[in-house]
Amino acid sequence: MNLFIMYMAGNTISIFPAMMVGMMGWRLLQALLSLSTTLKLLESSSARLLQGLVFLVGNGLGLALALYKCQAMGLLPTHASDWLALVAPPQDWTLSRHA
Amino acid sequence: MAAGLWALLLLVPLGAAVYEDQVGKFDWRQQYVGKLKFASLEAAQGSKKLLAATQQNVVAALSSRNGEILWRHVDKGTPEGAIDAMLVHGQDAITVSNAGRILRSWETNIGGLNWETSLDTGSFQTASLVGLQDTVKYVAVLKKAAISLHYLSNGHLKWVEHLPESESTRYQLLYSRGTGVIHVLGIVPQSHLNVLTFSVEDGEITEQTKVAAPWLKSLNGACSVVGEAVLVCADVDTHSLYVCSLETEQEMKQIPLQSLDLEFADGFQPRVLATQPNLINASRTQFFLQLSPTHFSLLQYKHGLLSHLRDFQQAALVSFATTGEKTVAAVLTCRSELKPVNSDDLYAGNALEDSQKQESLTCSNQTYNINLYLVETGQRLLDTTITFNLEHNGAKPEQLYIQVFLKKDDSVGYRALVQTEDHMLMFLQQPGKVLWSREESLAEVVSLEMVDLPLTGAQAELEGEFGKKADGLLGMFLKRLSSQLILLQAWTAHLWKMFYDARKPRSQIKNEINIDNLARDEFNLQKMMVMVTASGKLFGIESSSGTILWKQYLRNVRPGASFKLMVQRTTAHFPHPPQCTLLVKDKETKMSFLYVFNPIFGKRSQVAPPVLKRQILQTLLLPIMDQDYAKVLLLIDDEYKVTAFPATKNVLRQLEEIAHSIFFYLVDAEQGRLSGFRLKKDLTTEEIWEVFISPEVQKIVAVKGKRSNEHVHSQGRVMGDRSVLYKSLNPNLLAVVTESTDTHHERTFVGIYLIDGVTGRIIHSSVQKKAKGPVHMVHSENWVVYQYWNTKARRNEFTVLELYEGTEQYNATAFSSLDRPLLPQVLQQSYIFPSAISAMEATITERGITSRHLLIGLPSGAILSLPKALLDPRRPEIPTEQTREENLIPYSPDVQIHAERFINYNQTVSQIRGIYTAPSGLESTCLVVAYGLDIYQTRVYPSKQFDVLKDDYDYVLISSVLFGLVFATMITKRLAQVKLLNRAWR
Repeated sequence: MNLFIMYMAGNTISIFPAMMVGMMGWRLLQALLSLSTTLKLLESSSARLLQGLVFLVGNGLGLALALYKCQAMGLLPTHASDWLALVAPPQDWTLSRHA
Repeated sequence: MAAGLWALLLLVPLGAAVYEDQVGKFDWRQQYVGKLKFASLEAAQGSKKLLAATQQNVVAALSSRNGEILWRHVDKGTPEGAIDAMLVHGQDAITVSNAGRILRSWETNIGGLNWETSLDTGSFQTASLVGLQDTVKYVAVLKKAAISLHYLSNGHLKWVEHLPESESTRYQLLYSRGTGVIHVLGIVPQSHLNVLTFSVEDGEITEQTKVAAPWLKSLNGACSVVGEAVLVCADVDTHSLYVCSLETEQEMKQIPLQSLDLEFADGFQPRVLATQPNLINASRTQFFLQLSPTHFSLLQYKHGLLSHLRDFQQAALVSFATTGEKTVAAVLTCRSELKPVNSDDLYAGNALEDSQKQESLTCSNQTYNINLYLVETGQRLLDTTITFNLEHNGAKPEQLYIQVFLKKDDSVGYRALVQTEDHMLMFLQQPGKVLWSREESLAEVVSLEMVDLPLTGAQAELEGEFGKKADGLLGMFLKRLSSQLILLQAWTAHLWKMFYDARKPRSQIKNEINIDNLARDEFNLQKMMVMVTASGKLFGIESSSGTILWKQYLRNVRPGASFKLMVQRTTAHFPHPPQCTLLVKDKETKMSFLYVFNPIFGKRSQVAPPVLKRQILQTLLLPIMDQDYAKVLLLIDDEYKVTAFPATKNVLRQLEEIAHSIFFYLVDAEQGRLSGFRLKKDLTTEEIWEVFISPEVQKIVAVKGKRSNEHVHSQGRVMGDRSVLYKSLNPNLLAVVTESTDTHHERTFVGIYLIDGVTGRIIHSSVQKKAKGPVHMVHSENWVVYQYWNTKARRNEFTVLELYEGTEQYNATAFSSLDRPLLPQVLQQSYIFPSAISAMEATITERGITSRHLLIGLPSGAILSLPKALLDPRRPEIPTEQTREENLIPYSPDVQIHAERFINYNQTVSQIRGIYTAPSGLESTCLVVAYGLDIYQTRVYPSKQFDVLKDDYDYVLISSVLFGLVFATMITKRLAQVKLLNRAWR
């Protein structure tokens, strides 16, 4: 379902797609942060380790999807142009500027 | 579709225009007329105007009450517009301009053009009004080979006659006194005079005589016509006057000066000054004879007798004026004795030569008197003395015009217009009151710098607190408290003033700015404009109001000198005063001198500049400072030796350390040579490169580096695919423009060379075929924009060059001209511009974040603010997805002039010669000064005002909404509490 929503949202940067991606990422992150509580729920289960792993991988995949979506939307600072404003001008050691 | 959209987008103004209520809020304009060439004052007490024709090709009427311009007509700034003569008759002013080609008549009350006629070619000699039987009906124009007579009423030609023997004879004088004939006097130097008499009616030569005058070289100055057509000439060799009646005699009569007890000064060419010829009757028989620069004699030639009426020693200027039946002579004298200039008064001895010494007599206390004398008798008129003082500027009076009128009791009253050497006009009234004065030298601004204003006393106190050494915790605390208290006091005073002013209507609030309350404003928008004018007068003008706060006249600057103004110390180094240095270079001797002054108060600095014994070729202002925070100025002379100023030990030590990294270049346009030098430790230099551009093929017309105070925020441009195209920002890059010596329209070309100023490497060169100058160029960041005339297509064109390093930076941390293995990529595009250009400059801001605009001064007087984005060589011919992503406008060859991009709306600036831009404390705002005949100051916001609230920001609405919401919250809270309580009770 997430995949479908992400596909439908498109790659343009506007408030709704951005909110959707943000919400998705945030929900997954929350789920991962509450890993211990989830594991507690699974304490009774026999295949505890496997189920935990599946949960982790599932959430990880979701997160990767969100990241990919961010990348596709151009929200990740992965290009040189994203850091351009922070590039300092090279220092010139010669003095030849005329008044 | 897309193209249409873009076109629509381009039509949307980019926010350069101002709203109606913003007119005059940030901007001001001052209009000038220039240095007087001819002036005419009406001889009536109630007259309201005075007419002037000036060196700046302006005909204007000034109000005699306050000196304001009533009307003004500005001709072309080139010699084509030059005014050769002005004659005034009644309500009409006749001017001859463009070397005698155009005759115009102006209505003097409103400045309308009555008529205009074009005259035949031929070098103009003189013009005169011609009267006939009690009325003035014609104007006569004398050319080298012809004389023409025009009707005064409509300019139509009555007749034109060729002058006989015009190859050998120089015709120079015209004389007419209402008798129906015109006398034309020509001279064959050192042989004889040719006197022609023309009939006014049909232009026939009624008489032609030759008068022998083997001693005479020129008529102008040495000769005049007085009385009933009597020619008076002065001859210096025989020490005598020659007189000759043009109507009856054919011989010059010699009258030795000894018979009058007079003598010419050695080496002085004597002059004869006659009264303004009366157009209907004969002119007065009295005239002035100038014997030496300061010695005049009033003489009379009547009935064949020459008599001496009065002698004027120590007179600087004389003038005649007539009202009704009375003719008076005004004499301007120095109150004390004239003395040669003391050598202490001169800033550099070598700027003055022996030939000038005679003229350099000055009045010791700068107090002058003007007196009136009755010409018939030479008697002084009682109570006609005007005394005035020129102590504050130290300039001599240069021209004197008198306006006389008869008072009710039949005595003579007068007002005087005095123009001084520094082009100041003063209108004086008895007994010495200056009615108004105008600083006409500001019509010729040649150099300009903007200097930050100093901090206020309170601000400085606060700054000083951090600068001083700590004297105990308690002491520091007390000092802090006291300075805070001062700030509080200043703030309350400010608030009180605001409250007080708010009750008054806006027009009545006068924010008087004077030199004592100068202080920097919070955004540093208000600066001190230091202006250097061609006359050698310096001005300090407050930029927000245009008030002249100080002026200083440099007496030893001769006309045609070139100036270079540098700011050595800004106001940032309290308590050291700011310091500006002016390098003045004489046109003829090529010798220079330095003048060091405080740009805020205009006072000459105590610092003694070095005496320059050799010609200075180049200057270099280094960022290194001496212990007093003055930047070091290097002066390179014609032996390639370097003089440092200031030259303290500290500076010399620093220079020795960094000498290996100091480079400079020299340009020799005549030889076509560009050469680069490197400084050695002993302040000598070694040549390291040379570029030769053959002067037989092309001549160097301009060499421009980048501005030293320019900051470039972004090191590259973001492309559509989010990669970076790095700019090639070489701070040492020079743009050299050449023009071909061959000016044939098929073969003429403009060349541009981009040369590294340290290594001499030619980074780019290109030739624009079928193009010619004048070339205007702006060189900034990584781009060069230049404008030229395309002779093939007959239009003005812009070409822009941009330099890029590519998607990789060669060395991101350090820049060195010596280590540049890769040549930059050069992109180039050209555009058609629909107008010629007078001046061009780019905007500049504090940190270089704001987008750049080009400010283009048009000959129409408008200043166009053109976004640099329109002149971008990356504009694509076919727009793609990527270029749209990048916001590139598709290429279209023509750049349009939109009236809403004029930053000066209807405040046109006549004869724009330059535009100066300076950053302000706000990143969005750039200060602009355009100068020419007028001066215009404004602010521009190339990216709009993104860092400050708008002028029309609705504070009332926002605050009332805010308060309303807070109030509503409080009420609803209370209501909710009540409701909860009620529910709990239930």
